[in-house]
Amino acid sequence: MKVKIKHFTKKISLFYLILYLFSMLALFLLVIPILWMVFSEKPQSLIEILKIEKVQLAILTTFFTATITAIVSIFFGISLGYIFSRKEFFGKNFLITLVDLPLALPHSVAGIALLSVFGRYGLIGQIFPSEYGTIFTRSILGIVIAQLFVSAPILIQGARETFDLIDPDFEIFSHILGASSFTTFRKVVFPQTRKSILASTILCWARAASEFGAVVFMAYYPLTAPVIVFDLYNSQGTNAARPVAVFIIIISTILFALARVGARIMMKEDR
Amino acid sequence: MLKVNSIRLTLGKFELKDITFSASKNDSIVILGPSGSGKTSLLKTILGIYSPNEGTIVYRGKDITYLPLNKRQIAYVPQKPTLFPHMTVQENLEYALILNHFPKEEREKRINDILEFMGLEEKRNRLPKNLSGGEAHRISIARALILDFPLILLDEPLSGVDRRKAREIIKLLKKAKEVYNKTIIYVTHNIGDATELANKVIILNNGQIERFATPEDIIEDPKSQFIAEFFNFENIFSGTIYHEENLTFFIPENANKKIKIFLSDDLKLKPNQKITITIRPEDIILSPKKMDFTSARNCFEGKVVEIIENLSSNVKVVLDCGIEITSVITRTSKRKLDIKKGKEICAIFKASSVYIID
Repeated sequence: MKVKIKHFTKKISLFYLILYLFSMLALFLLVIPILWMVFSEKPQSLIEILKIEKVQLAILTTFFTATITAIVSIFFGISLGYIFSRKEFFGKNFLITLVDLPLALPHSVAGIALLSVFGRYGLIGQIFPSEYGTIFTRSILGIVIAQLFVSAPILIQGARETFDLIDPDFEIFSHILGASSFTTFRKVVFPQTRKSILASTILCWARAASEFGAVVFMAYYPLTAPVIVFDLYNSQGTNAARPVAVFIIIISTILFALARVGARIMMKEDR
Repeated sequence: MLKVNSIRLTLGKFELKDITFSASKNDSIVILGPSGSGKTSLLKTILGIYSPNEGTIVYRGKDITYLPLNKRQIAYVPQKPTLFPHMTVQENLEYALILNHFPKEEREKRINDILEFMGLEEKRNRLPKNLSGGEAHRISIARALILDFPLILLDEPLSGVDRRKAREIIKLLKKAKEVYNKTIIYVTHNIGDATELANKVIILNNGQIERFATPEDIIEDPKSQFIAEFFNFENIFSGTIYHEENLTFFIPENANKKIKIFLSDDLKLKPNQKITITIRPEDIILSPKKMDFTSARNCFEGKVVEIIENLSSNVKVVLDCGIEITSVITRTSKRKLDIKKGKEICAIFKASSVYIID
């Protein structure tokens, strides 16, 4: 339940004045560019751009790869997050820092790092024969790997923090009653953490769908939506790139709203 | 039912040492001891949460020392109720039954029966967060009773519950033990709970069993200073043995007094040997004047230095007789004897009321 702070005086204090000032600046910076771009775009140009097959394909590729990335990240996040939360081992904190690192890296650096492993002559890429040389660098698989690298840490971190909040005594108790580790996780741990994991999954999906830097280095083709915006901007200028950008904003807003409604329904189900 | 043989468990600097005891069917064993004495560690070792470094645990004729905890079939009631927060009362109870493969009709029946027994039928659809502390504790106990596990371990399950509710739960637990035919091992700080519930008491001190006996035996003769102090025995004195004309006396340190004591035949004490004794305050009677002819061999004159009254019907009177002697008398006796601070009075007790504890 939200608690409203009662204002006992109508006089605005200096503290609140500063808060309002910074809030307005933040809103201007975060909201105005998006609203301005969306409302200054003619609906006609949106329809025109969406008729281009290359654009349609890029948008489909983005949603497809981001969804695959989010699903794989759920498994990564739950597995690694649970182990980090429940097990103690040498170098655990160092490993946690390493896993979180892609969130702090410039994405061009992430792209180079990925190429050094999955590129044609990279650590893993070189294992494959030359006819499969582009298995990672011109493929859906490559896009998913790049997206995973930058977005899976969101879910791993989110899951670990959520599991940390669950008292391990519940698990011990479930075992005492006769449950296996899997049943305990399925019936006791997961139901208590699913809302947070869902929230992290939405963020992970959004991060994957919007990834540009790592994807452009790792697998420029097939084009994803962020890459095609860059591609159109490079070849035809802002006017050509803008309708695609606007379309991405509209779709992202709808999906975010749907995800939030879904999460709210889940919360109501949990009473 | 349960045999714990020479268990040793190391947890950092703490160690449970040479723990050996057994519980028979329908026993109520209470484990008592100060904080950090290893009570919870011992329970957790029996449950399988901790693996002992040495020793064996045999349960229903089977060695379970290294058996995973989900295979042991030992029920547990922890200090805090630990009801699964996302499940209703009914779901919490049903989860335990599903895990143990009870068919649906049997599950329904058992849940109805136990909720009725606990007087909590109306709470079946509540989430744990909507239960009071006492209700949550009762559901926690119900979850342990609902299964066919014959042994229940309870780890201070009434901590944080007010005394009145705790009394109700203790009564319920005693009744449940009989109705459901269970063996229980109960950890507590509360000596009252221990004496009410237990037919045997384990006293743990610094990771070792100090005593394993019936509560009556322990209260009658604590046998060690640690137990005497733990059970709030008063009148604990250290001193030496003194023999005179076939009689044995105890001379307290720093006091010119001779306390006549009774030595059993198997207890051989040498003159000047250092010992510690205790006298139960209830065994000390007060008299306004010294009595020369009485069956009680010890009679000391002293002054009342303190009168401690609480809400009970008894009063503690502390006398300075060269040594401080505490007696417990009724309020009526206090009135009749006109006990006041500074009043001179005699403390009388039998030689057989003096217990040698160390």
